[in-house]
Amino acid sequence: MKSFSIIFKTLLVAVLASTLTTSCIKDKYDEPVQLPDVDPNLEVNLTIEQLKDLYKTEPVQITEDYIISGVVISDDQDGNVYQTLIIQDETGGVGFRVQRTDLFTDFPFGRKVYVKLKGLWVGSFNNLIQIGAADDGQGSVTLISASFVGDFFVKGPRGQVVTPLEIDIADLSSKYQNTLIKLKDVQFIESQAGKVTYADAVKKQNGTTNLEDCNGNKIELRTSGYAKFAGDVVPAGKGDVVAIYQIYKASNQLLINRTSDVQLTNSDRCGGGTVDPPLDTIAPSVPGPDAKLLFPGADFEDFAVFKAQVDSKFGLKPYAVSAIGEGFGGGNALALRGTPGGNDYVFSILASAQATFPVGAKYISFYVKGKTTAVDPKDLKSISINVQRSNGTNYDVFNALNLSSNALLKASTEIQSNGNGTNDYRGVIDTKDKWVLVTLDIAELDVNRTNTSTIFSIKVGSKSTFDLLIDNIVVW
Amino acid sequence: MVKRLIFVLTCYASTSGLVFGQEAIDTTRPVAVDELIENQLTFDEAPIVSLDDNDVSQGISSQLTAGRDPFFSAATFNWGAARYRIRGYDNDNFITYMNGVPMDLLDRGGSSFFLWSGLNDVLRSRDNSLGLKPTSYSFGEIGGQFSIDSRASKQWKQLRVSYASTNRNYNNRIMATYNTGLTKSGWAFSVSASRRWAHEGYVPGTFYDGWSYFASAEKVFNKSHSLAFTTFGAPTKSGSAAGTVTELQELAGSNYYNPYWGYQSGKVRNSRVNKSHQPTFILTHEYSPSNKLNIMTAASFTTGIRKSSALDWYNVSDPRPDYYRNMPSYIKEDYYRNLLIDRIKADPSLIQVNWDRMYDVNLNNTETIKNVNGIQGNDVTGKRSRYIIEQRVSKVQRVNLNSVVNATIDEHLNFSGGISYQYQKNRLYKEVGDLLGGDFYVNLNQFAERDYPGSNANQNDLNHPNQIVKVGDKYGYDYDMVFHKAAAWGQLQGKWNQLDAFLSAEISHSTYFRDGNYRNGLFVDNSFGKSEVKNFLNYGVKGGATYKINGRNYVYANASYSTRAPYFQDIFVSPRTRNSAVGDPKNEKIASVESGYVLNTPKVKARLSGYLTKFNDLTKTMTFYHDVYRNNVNYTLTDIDKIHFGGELGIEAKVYKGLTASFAAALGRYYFTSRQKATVTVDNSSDVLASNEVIYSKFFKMGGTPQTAATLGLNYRSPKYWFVSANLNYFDDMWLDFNPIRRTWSAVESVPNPSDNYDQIIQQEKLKRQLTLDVYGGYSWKINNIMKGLKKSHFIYMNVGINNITNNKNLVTGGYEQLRFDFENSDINKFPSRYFFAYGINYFFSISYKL
Repeated sequence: MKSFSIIFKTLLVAVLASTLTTSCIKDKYDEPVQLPDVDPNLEVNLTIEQLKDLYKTEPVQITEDYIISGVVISDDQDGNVYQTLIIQDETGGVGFRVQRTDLFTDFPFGRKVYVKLKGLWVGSFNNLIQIGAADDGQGSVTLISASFVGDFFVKGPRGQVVTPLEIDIADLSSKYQNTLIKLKDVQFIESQAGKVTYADAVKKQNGTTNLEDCNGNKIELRTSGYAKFAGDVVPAGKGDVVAIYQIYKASNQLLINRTSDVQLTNSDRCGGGTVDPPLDTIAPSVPGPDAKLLFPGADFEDFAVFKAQVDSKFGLKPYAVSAIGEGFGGGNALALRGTPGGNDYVFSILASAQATFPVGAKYISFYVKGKTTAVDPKDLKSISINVQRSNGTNYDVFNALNLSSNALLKASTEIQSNGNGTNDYRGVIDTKDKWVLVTLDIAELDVNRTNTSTIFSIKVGSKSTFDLLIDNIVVW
Repeated sequence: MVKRLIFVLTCYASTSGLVFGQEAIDTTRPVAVDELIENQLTFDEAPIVSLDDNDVSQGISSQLTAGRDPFFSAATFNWGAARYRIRGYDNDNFITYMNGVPMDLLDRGGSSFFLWSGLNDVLRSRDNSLGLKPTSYSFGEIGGQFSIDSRASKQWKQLRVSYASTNRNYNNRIMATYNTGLTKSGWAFSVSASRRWAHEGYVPGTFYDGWSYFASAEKVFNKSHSLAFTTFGAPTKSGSAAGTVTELQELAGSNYYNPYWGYQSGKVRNSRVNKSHQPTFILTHEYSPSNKLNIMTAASFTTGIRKSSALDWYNVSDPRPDYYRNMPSYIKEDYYRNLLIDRIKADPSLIQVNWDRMYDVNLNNTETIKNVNGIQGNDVTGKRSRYIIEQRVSKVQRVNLNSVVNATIDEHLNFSGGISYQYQKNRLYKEVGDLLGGDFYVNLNQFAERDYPGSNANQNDLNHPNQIVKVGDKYGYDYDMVFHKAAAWGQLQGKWNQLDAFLSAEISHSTYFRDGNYRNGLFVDNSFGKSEVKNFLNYGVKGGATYKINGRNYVYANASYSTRAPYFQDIFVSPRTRNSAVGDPKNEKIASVESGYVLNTPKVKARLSGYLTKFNDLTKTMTFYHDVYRNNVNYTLTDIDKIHFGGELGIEAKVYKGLTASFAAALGRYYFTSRQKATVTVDNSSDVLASNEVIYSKFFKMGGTPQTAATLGLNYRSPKYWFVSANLNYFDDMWLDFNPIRRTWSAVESVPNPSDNYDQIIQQEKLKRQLTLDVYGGYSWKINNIMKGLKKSHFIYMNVGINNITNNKNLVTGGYEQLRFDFENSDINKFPSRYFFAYGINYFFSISYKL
């Protein structure tokens, strides 16, 4: 009977082994691969112009097996185009109302699309022809449900080149509606150029701005409050705008897919006047009106207050002293008078001391007066400024290099392996006994807005003799 | 949908002593615990306590212990299908000890059953104690306490191999166990392993893949001294099922419609996969220098992960088929709505996940990400995934130290007491699980991007702006929850001729805090680093007495009052984004009394009891996605008071020879007794949307359990080593969990009162009562009886259970009103309730061989 036991156990082991080997639960899946686009080459039997002509006075359903084709000229990725797919062919353009907010995923700009129109309705929204799912009872049409997009729209190849029609504002008319046009040498009107945003990004309200050509012809640019660029300020210069032309009642309107279609790069405005070039290309001579001291004591009027903001880890170098009565516009300043032995941190300001930045702050500025000298010219040095990032550890660097007049500094793009910018002390400072304004462009930086670590440090190069006054460190 | 079907087979057999004649103890028990563990993994709202009937009498012969209590058997086995919860209590009112250490979860209370899932063979030595009864190892919780002793010396010497087949959440199970028993050298070893799997479980699109392992070694140095080391784990992976709305269940033609899965290249893929593996190590030292003193000291360490996957996406449409905008009811035009309905009926895959489309979007979405990791000019171009699989990960480390002393003071008095220290750290974060064809994902908060354009607010981690993440990289949120708890308790127990009495007390101190690993762009100053440390001092007292009228009739009464710290998730209003917490959190207060009568005769066993429990000052935070805010909205409810009271009856009587009849019934009432206050916050803003908004929640019922349940059973056991039994179960007074938002003034402000709509908005849905029928049978075969001459005893056991034999597929075991409300039109059907259903007819068959 021992043999029974052995047989039984062997059998058990065999059964166990076989069940285990067949019990594998796979969780690997065959991954779909990118398929090349194909053109279904459907037979097109209607032009977009003919389609629009179907609308007379009220919404009408398309009962024939009409097929149009066109290229997508709308892009809802930035949120300005909303629930609308606009296509155009050689005869014109037309928009479809579709209940989707990510049409760019299936119908990106430049994709050829066929539309099987039977069953859809043609309507008009204040003279703009729209195609939709049904009569909305108010003259226009309802949204085509996401589930039915595939019933009507057939995808063709992507990447079709769309050349916008170059046209003058004065020549625009209804037949160009929902086509991509290019207006050359236009500008935002004086009261808006460089001053207002495309729309109200905070309240999410649509915005209307106005473009004009040099003959005084004007056209509205409408922007959704939900567009990603709603809060961007419109450019001040003159240039070309690519947009979808639309009409609302009797007025002309433009709809842009993205701000890169607004290329107003020429600083000469119509009629010869020039706008101030954008601030990011010239050095300001005074800080903006809403400038605030970066930290208490940043005007150096009360030196004790300033010293209280200095990170005690680095301290304040002995050659950094209060300069009574020598300040910008009178009052006191900070003087650097001495010859540093190393590339010193003169001081670092605690992050906890920083002021609340003004809304949209883009710059830190301070005044400098004086010069650096050295017995051996190769020892001539300048200053370098560190602005801490929000992680408290890393920082961006602004190098003053040669400094003799107002300067707008950009952060060093030489990033070290540890993530920090690179200090560069080369250069000489000589302001010819005048105050110059040094402005740091922090708009794109991740400035340390927390209460930990530091925010702002001034460094000096070694061996050079400094005789510098520094005053009024502000953020604006 | 619901796998709360508990397998019973032999519970009646064991309740009345000898089972198959040959062996008193050993029967095949596909244990309840097992099923429950799996359920916990599969369903978010885990119910009941997990218990089984394994009972080794603990020497106190004064009264029936829970395992042999007919009511307890019914509650755990027959009512599991309806997710019956004992006394309506949540999981955190029960506690389980393993080899001398408490196995509760400090983050949310309750026990971590999933840790030992699938190890039925070695978890049979148990002490179950229900309600307020005293135990020798813990002060306990008000619902009950359970102690599992899996040390090697407690395992019967045997080799056991079994196979089971079922059509529930898994299809197959194999299990093997070998125990040496205590050898002459003083050593004992035990090993056990099992595997459970299904390519597709009862619910479409679910799968199951669970392994379990266990090993224990123990050295008994001498009579007074032993040391045991035990380790176990259960690496498990399973596909989930969802509670869904009636509209889609009707379209799919099944109450088990599961929106989580879809076809990928023709193969079923589930988007919600749970994975867990948290190995546990326990060292247990027992010292008993005399039979009057016993000191057990144990330490445990648990480490590992739990992950659950889900779809995530960036500025593209919601891909979930049960999202309300994707359902036919969202289409306004009758023609198109009906057309879609017809299409879905012809092609049900239209209401499943469309994997291929997500791949298509990702494969064709080439983008350039600027200034990656915050480095100017560091631009990366590639296929940016718009849809991904996210893994919500919880990485756990837990240490428990516990020491318990039991001392006999004199012939009447016993002292028990103990001290414990518990530490737990959970790191919670999301990681990229699958890029679905793309090259990378970007660690940005699309909701903040929309709300605060042109700022850094959209950075999930300002320390790494514009971070590109790939499979396995963390993103979204990343924070630690850190817990410490120290407790001490003591208990005096007296036993006299006609009276047993006890008095016990506990004191504990617990602390916890959040420690953020991300600096969230929205909460620059309040997300990175340590939060304020929350401190709680709690205590409990309880006492009771049993009057022994005679050896067969007992009456007892117990009472307790305790306080309890609120849970981390309920205090931190939005831990995913920031350190903000309820300012002055209150401790929960729990008062409970119970009383009963027990009859214990050779022919009839019965217990009749009543209880009343009041919970005061509970705090709870509920989080849900709100698509108007396009964000997670957090409702922090405070001042929650509730009451649970009711009666329990269990009777078991030997009717004729091997025939036993049993009846059990629970009649309870569980409802809220206060108007709760809601403070509403959003993940993406520090704005408080509402502060102390009154929720008109008074008299609303607790959902998630039948408040009335009954079972009638018949069991016949043949002297020829087989048995059959049948149970008829009845469930009533089941309520849907309610949405507090609908019970506010702002929800009904513009609704005419009286009106049908008004009533619909504020009334709570009562679920239909149900009947189910279960049958069981078993046979035990001693091979030696046929094959004479075998040296050792060989047994084969076979058991089968068929549950819900009438195939009732309409038993709603739970559900909830969606935490949304259509304030605009006051239409409750815009966000309809979601329901879970118990399985229709289902079976469990097992065969095991024991040497």
